[in-house]
Amino acid sequence: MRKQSLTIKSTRKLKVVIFAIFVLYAVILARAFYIQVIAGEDYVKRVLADFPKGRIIKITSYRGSILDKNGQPLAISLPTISIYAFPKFVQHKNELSDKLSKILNIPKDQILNTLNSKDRFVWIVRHAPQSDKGLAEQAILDTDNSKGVGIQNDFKRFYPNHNVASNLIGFVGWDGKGLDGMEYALNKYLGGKPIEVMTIFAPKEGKMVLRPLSIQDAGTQNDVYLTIDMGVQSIVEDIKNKIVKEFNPRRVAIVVEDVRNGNILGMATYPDFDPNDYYNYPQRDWRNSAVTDVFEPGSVMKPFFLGYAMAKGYIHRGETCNAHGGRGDFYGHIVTDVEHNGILTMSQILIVSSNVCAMKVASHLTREDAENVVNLFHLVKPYGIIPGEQAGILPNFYYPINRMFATIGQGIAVNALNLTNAYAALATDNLVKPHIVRKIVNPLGKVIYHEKVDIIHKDIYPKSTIDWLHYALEQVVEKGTGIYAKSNHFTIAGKTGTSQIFNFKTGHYSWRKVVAVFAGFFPVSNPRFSAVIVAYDPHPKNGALAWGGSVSAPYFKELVDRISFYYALKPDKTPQNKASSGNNQ
Amino acid sequence: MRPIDVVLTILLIQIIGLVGVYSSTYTNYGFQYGLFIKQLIYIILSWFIMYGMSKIKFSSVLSIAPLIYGINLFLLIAVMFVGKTIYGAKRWIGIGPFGIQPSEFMKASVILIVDYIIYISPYLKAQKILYILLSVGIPFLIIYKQPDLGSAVIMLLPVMSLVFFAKFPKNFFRYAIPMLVVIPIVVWHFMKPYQKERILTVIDPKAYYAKGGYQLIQSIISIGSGRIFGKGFLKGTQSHLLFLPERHTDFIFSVIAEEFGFVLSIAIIFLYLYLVLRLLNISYYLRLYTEKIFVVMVASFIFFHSLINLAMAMGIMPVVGIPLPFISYGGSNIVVSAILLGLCFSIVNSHKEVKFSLLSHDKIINYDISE
Repeated sequence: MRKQSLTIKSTRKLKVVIFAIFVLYAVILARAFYIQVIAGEDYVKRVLADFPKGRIIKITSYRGSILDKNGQPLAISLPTISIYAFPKFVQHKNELSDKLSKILNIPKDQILNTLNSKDRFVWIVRHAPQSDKGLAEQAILDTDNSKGVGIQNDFKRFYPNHNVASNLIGFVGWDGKGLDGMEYALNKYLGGKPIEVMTIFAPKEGKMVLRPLSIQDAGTQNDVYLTIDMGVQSIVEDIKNKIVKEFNPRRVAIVVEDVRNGNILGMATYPDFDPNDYYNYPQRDWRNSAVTDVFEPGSVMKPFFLGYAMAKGYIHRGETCNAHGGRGDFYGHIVTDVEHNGILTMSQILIVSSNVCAMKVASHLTREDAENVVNLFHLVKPYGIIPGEQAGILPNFYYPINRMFATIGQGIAVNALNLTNAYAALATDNLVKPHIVRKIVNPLGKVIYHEKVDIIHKDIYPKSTIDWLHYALEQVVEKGTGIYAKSNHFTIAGKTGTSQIFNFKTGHYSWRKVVAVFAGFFPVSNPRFSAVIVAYDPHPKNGALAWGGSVSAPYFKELVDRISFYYALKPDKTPQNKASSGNNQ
Repeated sequence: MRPIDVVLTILLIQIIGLVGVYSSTYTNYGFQYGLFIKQLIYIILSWFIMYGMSKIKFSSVLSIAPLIYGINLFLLIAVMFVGKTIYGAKRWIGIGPFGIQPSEFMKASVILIVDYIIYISPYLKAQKILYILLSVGIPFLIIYKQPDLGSAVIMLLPVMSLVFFAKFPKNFFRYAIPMLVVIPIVVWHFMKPYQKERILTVIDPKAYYAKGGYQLIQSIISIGSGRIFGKGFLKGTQSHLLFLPERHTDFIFSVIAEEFGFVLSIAIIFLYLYLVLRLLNISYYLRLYTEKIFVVMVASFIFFHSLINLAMAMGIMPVVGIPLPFISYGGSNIVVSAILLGLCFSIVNSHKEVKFSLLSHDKIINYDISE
């Protein structure tokens, strides 16, 4: 009996013990489950954060290149070195700073200050040239600092063309992530995310690098070919600089597009900056004003609306319009032309850029018509191909007066990219999606993306309307407001635009401050390129008023000639052609 | 060699261990055959020991327990004078190419001597408790001085687990519990600051990180990067490329967990769980008190070793040098585990077969009552 009772009592104890064993092993199992299945790297980082001598160092990795259409480098990764130190364990600080300052060309005091910092871990220098590595290593050895100072290989982004296309390309930050422009937009493809390296510093062994945590996360580093053609880009950059020099405008944007496939061949903006040291420039200089800034385009809007009116049958080629001496009263708004125009043909409305007659034509348009024009030419909606694309601004088309003002480009605001592409659509009668990325090539040389022609709207206007528009816009350049854009070698279809800048302080349109625009395409006989030059608030030297026709048009001509020469286009202005264009009209 | 399921469990654990040792001694610069071959020899030796032990009568081993204990204590003291210093601790005595670790063998000797002290009856009198305290306390202090607090503590744990199974005098707990509270406070008071610090760092793992816990962090990275199915045999970059100290001994679990993932982590835990529960199950049916207590202490030995080692590798316990029984590289650990389990086999084999087969609960109760 006694034995039995003992067994029963120990049974109860045994149950408690077995329960405890289960619980303790369950804790271990839960722990393994947590570490291996649920947690992951974040947990490891937290463990490391608890460790006083541990530190996660971000190292910039290789990032794919950004190249132009033909493979010329726009942004590349250069191998560099960074030197770090654990100040507490650095010896002979003075000697070391002296040696390093000579090698790296950094003031000695700066290095000394860094080494005297109270931080656990400091970078003495980041992204120094790789060629200094040997000397720097020797300096560290000589001062017996191999346990407190170390060298880390990393990469630095380099922009060989400096300011060229800087606003479009953007830049990467210290950690190798694209922060602006295409660098930002293409982060996913270029890779080069900072690699986080976990290090633990042990005084005896020196630095101990644990596994680089996110080596896969650095992504595959693809090379991206933009549609930008450095030949075109350098032409437009040069033209931009000339405009800046001559007119000292607040902003300039020049966009050149291949009308056949929507490829953006050149995009130059002012103000610009050098992405190699972007931090020395004010933030506003980083903006790509070709897409981030919308402006009232002025008369360059006229062809879209007039074309629509003709396509719809509201007006006809033979019709005329009385400009009443270049002055009209629309719902109490007085609108004037630059010149005292009388009876004008439809083509002449564009050629002399008559606001009065354009608005008269626009009085036929319904609300739906006005919206159609905006949609057909994708005037205000962003394409979403370049970071920072600003949507245009539309007035309320319910009111006829707003539809009329929109026709002469007032009360409506667009950005240069949308306008360029809309002119490309006038050239071909098809609206294609603009492209900035031509192709993406992975490290194995395989093309993982290639742009293809993406037609958004086909046959926008009937052929007769398009022919008329081509004729009228060509005449604008031949003898109209765009005469300064007239080339001796190539036919150009274009339109000038001048709009007063709305001054938000006074609530009025400023008389002297204008946006001078020239938009067009060329050669007319077989359109290849469309381009827009926008000069925001230019200041002509002699104090004269600025006009699209006087500021932007002359440079448009230069642009046409130089780009056509670069592409070796055959001049389409033969002597007969010149003569015939004179007889026409 | 009965019971066969225990034999199979040990074999499985050993196979996992061999794979782990192979992998952890394999580096990109070449494979250190030496360590793997040695481990293979230890494993084969362990089966000779277990087989041999199972043929010896447990009582005869128990009767020479004081002798074993005496020799072991002598070796332990000898280490203090002639021992090899590795990683700042004197633990090994070299015998040719092999080194033995008397503190490992002491774990077995202590279990035997405690069992010997409570040889006759399960009732613990004050005198017996004093003997137990002395026989455990002396090696504890020596090992603690090596310094190897981890081994010292784990030597105590099987003995302490007797609280659940032994019979104490009626007033024992009335005096023991206040003593347990008062003595540490008094001792603490007389300790020097560095000694206090050493204890605190073991109690508080985060403080221990500061003392160079990169094994621990690397271990956690290894285990974590194994995910569910692991990276595959010899694919664990972590343990091969970088210097993970003790990766084939105390931190072998991180190598295995990295290469074979959570799946094998579960398997290892369940194998140990099965072994421990099966030993307790066997002890339940033993009527001879020395045998019962012995098997319980062996179960406790396996339980605490596996629990503390795994917990340590996963960062929920301070880093202490506790091997994973039959998995970690190391002759002393394998031989000691083999001796202890071999004696369990001997106990089982000396009884009628029916008693220890699985699922024979009713029969045993009948057997007890009928006697």
